[in-house]
Amino acid sequence: MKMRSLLGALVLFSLPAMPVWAENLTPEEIKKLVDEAVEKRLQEHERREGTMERREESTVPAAEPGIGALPEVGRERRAERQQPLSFGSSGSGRLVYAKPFVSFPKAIVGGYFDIQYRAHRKPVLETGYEDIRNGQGTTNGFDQQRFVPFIYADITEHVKFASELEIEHGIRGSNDIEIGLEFAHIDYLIHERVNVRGGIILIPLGKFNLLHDGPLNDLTDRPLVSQLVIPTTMSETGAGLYGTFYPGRTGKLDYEVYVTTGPCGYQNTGEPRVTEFDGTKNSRQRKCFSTDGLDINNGKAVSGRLAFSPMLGIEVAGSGYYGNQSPSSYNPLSIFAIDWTLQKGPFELIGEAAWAYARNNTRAIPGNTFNGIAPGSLLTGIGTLNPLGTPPERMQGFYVQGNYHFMPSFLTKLSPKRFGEGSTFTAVVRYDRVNLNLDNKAENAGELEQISFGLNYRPVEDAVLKMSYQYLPKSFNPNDGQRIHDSAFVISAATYF
Amino acid sequence: MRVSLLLPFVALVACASLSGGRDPHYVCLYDTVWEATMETMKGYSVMTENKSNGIIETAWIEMEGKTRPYGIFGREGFGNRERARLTVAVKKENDISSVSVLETRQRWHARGGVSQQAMKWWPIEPSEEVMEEVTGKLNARLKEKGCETARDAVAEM
Repeated sequence: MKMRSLLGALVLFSLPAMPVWAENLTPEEIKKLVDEAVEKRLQEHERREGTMERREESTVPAAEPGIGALPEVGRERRAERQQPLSFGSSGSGRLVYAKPFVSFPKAIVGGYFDIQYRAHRKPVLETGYEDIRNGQGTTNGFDQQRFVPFIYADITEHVKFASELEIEHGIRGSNDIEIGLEFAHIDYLIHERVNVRGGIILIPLGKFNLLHDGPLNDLTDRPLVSQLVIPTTMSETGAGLYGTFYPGRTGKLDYEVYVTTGPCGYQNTGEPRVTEFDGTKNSRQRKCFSTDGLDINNGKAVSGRLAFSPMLGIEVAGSGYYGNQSPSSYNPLSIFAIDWTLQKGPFELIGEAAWAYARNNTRAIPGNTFNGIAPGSLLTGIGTLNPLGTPPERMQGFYVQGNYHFMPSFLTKLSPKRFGEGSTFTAVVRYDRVNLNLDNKAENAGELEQISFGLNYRPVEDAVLKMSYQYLPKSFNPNDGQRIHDSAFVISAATYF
Repeated sequence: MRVSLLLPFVALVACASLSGGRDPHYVCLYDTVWEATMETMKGYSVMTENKSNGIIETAWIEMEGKTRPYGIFGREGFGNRERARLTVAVKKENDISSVSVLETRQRWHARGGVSQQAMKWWPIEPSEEVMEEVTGKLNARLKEKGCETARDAVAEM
């Protein structure tokens, strides 16, 4: 205001110097002229001030990380002139705020969450109280299965970081709460055809292991083959390459290949961890007894996936994993999988088939200390339901799933906000089958079959309310070790946040 | 093997699925159609052109795509980066020439969370408008040169 008055006075004083104008103008015209001139001068003044401020800013010495005012996350940007954080940086407790992604937030924090309620016809849910409950579990219950925060960061145009921290059944506050890094890796993007990745890596074995998030999938339970033959979520520490090629006009060829720590197929007593009850689930590095999750032998695993998409909506892929799972001999675990995705309009047909071979899993390994079994002896009755059987060497399974996306128009008319663009219903049907001990022709705990019928509602693409009915003609009750015929009703909700 | 029983079905669906390109036919000499196509494509960052096999390919062009918020809160975390390229195939079929226009479009980080797949391009539906625009320009240019689309020629008969 002060500035405006001063400029007004200056303009008025200058009017007599322009006699031609002053004499012929009415008072209203003079006032208008003065206002315009003042406005013009003000704009010039502001422009000059702005330039000076910028000049002053540029003369401020480079800020040392950890010193000075705390950055306002989301507004202040880490300028190029700022010195990088290093061991040479000095500062007090504020140094913790000198992390690049606090002062220059290019990191994204998000995650996903799910909650489910399931009711079985048979008491198959494991509670840990089976001894008191006459060897029976419960038939129904709520379960908050996964809470998975993730952090993603664009470090530079070519350096990226991604991670997921998984908390399973997080209601437990002590002892066996499962918290682990599902993956955490740094990527160096060289070219679309070749990129380097290192860290805890999701093994590219089947498509489901790579895209297993609850909000992505249309049924609550994961496919049996992706739980027991491919032990989703399967991740290991290692490094490798990935990239994409574009053969032909519409073709796309994606590959991933990694060298990782390898499987952990034995307890520290030498007892096999690949069993008819759990398949390959316990051979994962994350379940291993080894110190700090380190390798149990000097061998490494190799894994890779090659996915070919001849055109939009179609993808077929083959993938494999091979690594020694014994700490004292050469007993490799190999898993091979094929997966397919076909999309046409509202229809989708997806599926996966996998074969696993745990060589020499039927015999005791050298140096074992359990049950006084001599190395090389058959492990009769161990890891199998059949007392005359042996732990599995070969297993196989597959699933086929059909999805149909739709939105009834009467619902859209009824409530466009709830059932408008972006929301959809999905009808799902899936057939699952696995055999976790192909050599055991007698009672086999791992011979499972399941047919699921589901209906979903997605208010937005990334959040889903699911319900399904599962018919299980071949199932197993882990509480009493009986083969059963079961069915279940499952409702759940899952969302990214 | 039950899985192998599925393969013919898979192949059947695969063959039935087409990616929605434009495929007009012209009653015109191949050379004329090729020249008109080249002229039409001048403004589209052509990267490769090969008259012998009739293929013209543009470079990938990055752009801001449709807003695609993620998560239940509709956050903007991963941006809306899209890229697209055009491939045009000119083919000689007896007395007529066909021009197939196809856009391939991809999105950086297609959907959902951060998964390991975050750092790659995901295929999405091509832009009908872009393919329509190229085909429209080509039709107009060939009309100037006295070429008719095969459909118009049949209608006149």
